[in-house]
Amino acid sequence: MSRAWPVDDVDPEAPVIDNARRVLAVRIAEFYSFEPVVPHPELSEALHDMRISAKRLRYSLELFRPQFGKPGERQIERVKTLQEILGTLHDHDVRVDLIGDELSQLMLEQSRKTRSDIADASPEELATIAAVALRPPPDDPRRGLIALLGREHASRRTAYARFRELWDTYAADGMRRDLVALSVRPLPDGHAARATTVA
Amino acid sequence: MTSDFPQPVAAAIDIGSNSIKMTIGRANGEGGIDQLDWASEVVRLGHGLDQTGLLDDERIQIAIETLTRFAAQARERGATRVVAVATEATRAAANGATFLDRVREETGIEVRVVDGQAEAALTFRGLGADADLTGSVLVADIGGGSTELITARDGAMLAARSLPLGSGRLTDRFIVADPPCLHELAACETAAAASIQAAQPIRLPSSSALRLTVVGGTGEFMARLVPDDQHIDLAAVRLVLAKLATLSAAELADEIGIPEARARVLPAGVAIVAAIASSLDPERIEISRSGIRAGLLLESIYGGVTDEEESKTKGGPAKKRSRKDGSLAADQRESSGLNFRDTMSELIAERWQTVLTAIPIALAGTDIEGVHDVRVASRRLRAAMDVAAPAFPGKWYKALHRTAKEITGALGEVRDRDVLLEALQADRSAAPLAEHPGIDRLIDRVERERVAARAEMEHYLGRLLDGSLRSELTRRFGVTEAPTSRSIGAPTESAS
Repeated sequence: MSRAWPVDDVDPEAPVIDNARRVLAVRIAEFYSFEPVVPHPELSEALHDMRISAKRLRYSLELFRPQFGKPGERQIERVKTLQEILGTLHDHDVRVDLIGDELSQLMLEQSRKTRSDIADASPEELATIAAVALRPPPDDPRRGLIALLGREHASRRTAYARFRELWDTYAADGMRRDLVALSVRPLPDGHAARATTVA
Repeated sequence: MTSDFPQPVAAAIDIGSNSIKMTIGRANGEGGIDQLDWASEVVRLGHGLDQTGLLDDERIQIAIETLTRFAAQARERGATRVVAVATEATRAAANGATFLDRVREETGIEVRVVDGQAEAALTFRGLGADADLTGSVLVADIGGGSTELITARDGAMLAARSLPLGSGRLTDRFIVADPPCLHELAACETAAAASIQAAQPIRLPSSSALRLTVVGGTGEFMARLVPDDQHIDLAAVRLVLAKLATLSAAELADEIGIPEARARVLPAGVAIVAAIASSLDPERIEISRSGIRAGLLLESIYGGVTDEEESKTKGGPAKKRSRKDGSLAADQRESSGLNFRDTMSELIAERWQTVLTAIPIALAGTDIEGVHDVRVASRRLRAAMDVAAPAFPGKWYKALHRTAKEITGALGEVRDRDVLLEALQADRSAAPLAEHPGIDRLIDRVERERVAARAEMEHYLGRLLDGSLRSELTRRFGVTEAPTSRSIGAPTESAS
């Protein structure tokens, strides 16, 4: 798991809002450092780290909720949505690993049993042992594990597609720009208007 | 100068631990509010919270029904905006967020959970319209679940503290008899005094002529029991306590015209007034009927603090600064003199309290969300401790920070299995019979792992609660009332 990026310039004596902006700036940078991972569904670990980073970003926004006001609420919703879909993706990854591991164990057990049965079998019994090994009975646990594994992979693909869709939508909506705007001190009244006029 | 234009009407709702109250008001064109209507319902949302860490389902239902009625009343009175805040019961309960989700879905009311500081700031703003804030004043807003203490001088707020001390909480803990026995009232007062002593020192105005202004229902109803509500002192409060020991809740309700459920918790509230008065020795005690809802209405109608108010709270010239909705708490915190360190200290204290309150439910093991709630609470605590670390360079802070991380980890293994089991059970119920043996095999495996993970978690949490954590948190952050493994029936180290 990746460690949180340190916030070096917190000033304990400064007003809360100043430190809130400093913390947020670091958390935004940390979260977007995972941007190159987004197009790569196979990078399960990195996507999981991105989820943890999203969580840190969201908690920082929530921590300073009064300071960031309504604009912060919108960002909390967006980050939460991304974090949740990344969480769903991670849950599928955990289950894929678990089911795969259980299936391997089961097949190893079955293979050992077949070898043991063969070693002790009479020539007449060999045909039956081969039939069981090649055509498992209806209640063979492999059936459920294989079906479950297939469903998990399919669900993971759906979850990833949803994540990409959300990511692209929020990016087009200017999510990063809006987050950064929260982390910087606003210009005094009138300055923004003048800047616009000059531009 | 009043305006000829129609002024906006808004409704402000305060979801407290004892009552849900609403005030409907209209801007008076002079920066103030004219009250049009009000409503109050004793819901006791915080009832049993200290024992279970949860809001009770039945109370939640009553609260939602109450809020539905209030919303309709507000609309009838022409309110174009309904603003609502929830205080101690909702912020402390492990299922507070679920409650608020239901409120939003079923009533359409968006509720803001305010921390103790924001609650104090809103209360103080509301007071400006009604109370005399000249000289040195200590404001006590006694709620059902928490008490906010605010110090002020000549209308400028100096500091605020939120204590986990409320009339409902103390009633649940100490009062059984009806009428309450004198020794039960004494126990309430002693516990309240201890909580005030344990809190971080509150910065009192330097003048010796301190006045105590009590806001909220406790003050208003107590005033109905004193011979002269213009001259209340500690002796008068003690006489009220003596009288309360002779009146049943029904008799008290009848005498002062309040609901019986509210009367039941009033004695503990008055005991808190007595504890504050004896600890801080005010020259006299005053009552104000304004408070958090007036502050909310001002915020809702006029936005953040006005230049004039800013000048008043900072004691300096007004600065031109536009404020957006929702920034009040931050501004008030800063104007109250609380810097980042102080603010984070209080926030961390609140978050430790939330973690400690949620642990018993996780250990009970009757609801898988219990483990999840502690884990989330510990992550939120860590988020606060992460960013506050530069403000607390001591080794003691690093140790507490490490403990917070260990709590998250200790619960993680159990939580992962809980989530897995839930998903596997759902898979099984949707899968054809032929797939069940494979899924059952997985479920058996995860259940075995979960039993082992739970045993480790219980061992860790039991050891944690019986160790020095509680005293350290009290010493460093003023956190009180942390459970012990004995009080929650968790296995201790020797038993495991």
